[in-house]
Amino acid sequence: MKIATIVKSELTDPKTYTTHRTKVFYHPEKLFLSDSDKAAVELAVKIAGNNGQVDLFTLEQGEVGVRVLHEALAMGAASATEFVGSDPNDPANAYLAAEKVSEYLKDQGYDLILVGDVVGSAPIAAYLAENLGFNLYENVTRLSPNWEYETELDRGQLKGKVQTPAVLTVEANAIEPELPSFPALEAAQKQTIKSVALNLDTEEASEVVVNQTQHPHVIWNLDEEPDAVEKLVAALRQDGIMK
Amino acid sequence: MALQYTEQQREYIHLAQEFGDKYLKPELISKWDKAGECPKEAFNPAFDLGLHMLEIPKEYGGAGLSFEDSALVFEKLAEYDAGYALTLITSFVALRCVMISGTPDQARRFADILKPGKFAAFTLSEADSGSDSGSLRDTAVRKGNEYILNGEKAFATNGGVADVYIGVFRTSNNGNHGLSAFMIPRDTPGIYVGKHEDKMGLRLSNTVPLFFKDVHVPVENLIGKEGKGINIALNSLNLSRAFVSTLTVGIMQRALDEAGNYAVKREQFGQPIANFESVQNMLADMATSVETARLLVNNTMKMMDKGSLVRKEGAMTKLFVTDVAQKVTSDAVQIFGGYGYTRIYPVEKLMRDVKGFQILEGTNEIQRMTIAREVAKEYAKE
Repeated sequence: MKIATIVKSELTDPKTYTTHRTKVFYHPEKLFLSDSDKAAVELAVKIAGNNGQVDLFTLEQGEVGVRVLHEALAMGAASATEFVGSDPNDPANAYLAAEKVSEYLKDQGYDLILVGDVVGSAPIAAYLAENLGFNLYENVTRLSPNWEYETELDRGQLKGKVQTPAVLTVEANAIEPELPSFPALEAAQKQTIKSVALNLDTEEASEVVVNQTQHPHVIWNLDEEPDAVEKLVAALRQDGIMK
Repeated sequence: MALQYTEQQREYIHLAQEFGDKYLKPELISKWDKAGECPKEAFNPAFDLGLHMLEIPKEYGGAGLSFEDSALVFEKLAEYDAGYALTLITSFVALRCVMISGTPDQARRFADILKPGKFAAFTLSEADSGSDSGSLRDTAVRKGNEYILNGEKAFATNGGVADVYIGVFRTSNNGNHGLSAFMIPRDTPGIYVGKHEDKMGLRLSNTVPLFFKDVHVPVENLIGKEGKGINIALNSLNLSRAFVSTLTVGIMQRALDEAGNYAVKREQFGQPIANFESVQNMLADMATSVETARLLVNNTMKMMDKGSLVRKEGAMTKLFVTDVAQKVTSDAVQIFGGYGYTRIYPVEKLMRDVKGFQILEGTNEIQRMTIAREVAKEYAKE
């Protein structure tokens, strides 16, 4: 059994996440492996057992990328690779990045690709499944050794059997990950991380276009404009979104 | 944050935080604090993570972290509970002491006991011999290939939970030079554990008197040479003073976090109390104390990593950090006002916990004597 797990970070302390309308400030030192990715790695390690292998990949850049790989390696994965390029995490580059990652993973004999289910991570899993011709199972909350899986729906669970090769997005509650030990983390920090350049041609990437012609203020500042809410309501009415 | 962490250190601190969030939840800490003891099973997750042998080299089964990195981990744990962290530190400081002063075989035997998840204790003080170790009276008499130990030890941290002790006993009437240190397995016949002390703070840390009645230990359990017990005790104290300072920084950080969060939310006279200059002054002094204390501890740990015994620096660190911590935790209670004086909020516990660190591992009065002696020595050389 050969499993690839694509890991990413999330903010550990929401207090350090601040927005100012047009900008989002992340504090890189607060970004660690996300809970759902921990579950994905734990699940992968458990399924792989003694005879299988779990390889880690990340699209996170720089120190955050290395950090999430260290955390995941300490949980029992065998190898780690970081994809470097021109901001492959940018949603606008998601398809291009997935295409390049698929090219890299193709023909490597993976039975499963697990991805933690965090808001914003869904496209990569879907693109990977499409590009690699793998089956896609989303929002998995349980996976048994005989490949039976469950996903949570609004009115119950969807149960079925995973047909490999497959891409699974894993929910944080799928399994309770064990904390790695300090010796394992220390060993992970010494392990070599492979770097693969994605060489994204961002000129080809889809572009996010903001139409600012209709309203001079697409973004209002609540701190400086006491009537910002009224302006927003007026704009929504003008566009027919609100009646 | 004044101290610039490396990426590796950040990862260690984060793991310590995850451990604390998972296993040292506030309701548990509060329950154990009220009960005055922490169940031994509560340390099993810490053993799994290797926290009980964090700075011990890998060849002895430890995690092999540096003193500096270990200190950062334990500072974070102390934010959750310093008594819990102290229990773990006491074990590996005792082992480190055997590694410094004993034979490789003794160190390996000691490490093998701790490795699967056991505790160690260092016992020096007696009822009438605290700071004045020269007046220590418990005896070790050699008979053939054995020493026979007799006496009573007081305030033995981890004494009730440890599986192995380092005990300092008198082998001759030569003051401090008549003391010798021994490695004593807990299951040796003749050892009795007294009643757990009902302490003011650090209540998750086990503290008991120990009674030794005709306890036979083989001569190969003598650590170092006969008459060198005081040196071994001082080596142990140098290490533990630095680590006690680390725990104190953790308590101070928690006090600042609690008080800061409270001050910006609690409103009086129609505004948050953090807007009042008197509260701002307290918060400013607290934050400054935390940063300076952390830097001092970090420097001492770096010196220990380079092999320094930090006799003077360890004493200076403990003196400064544990003294400023009294004010920091007291100010935290002050900022909480009447609520701070109750058990509704954790700041009263922080104040109780931190008081212990002015006393244990040598009172701060003894630290001043040590520092003065070392300073005088330096000037006498010139």
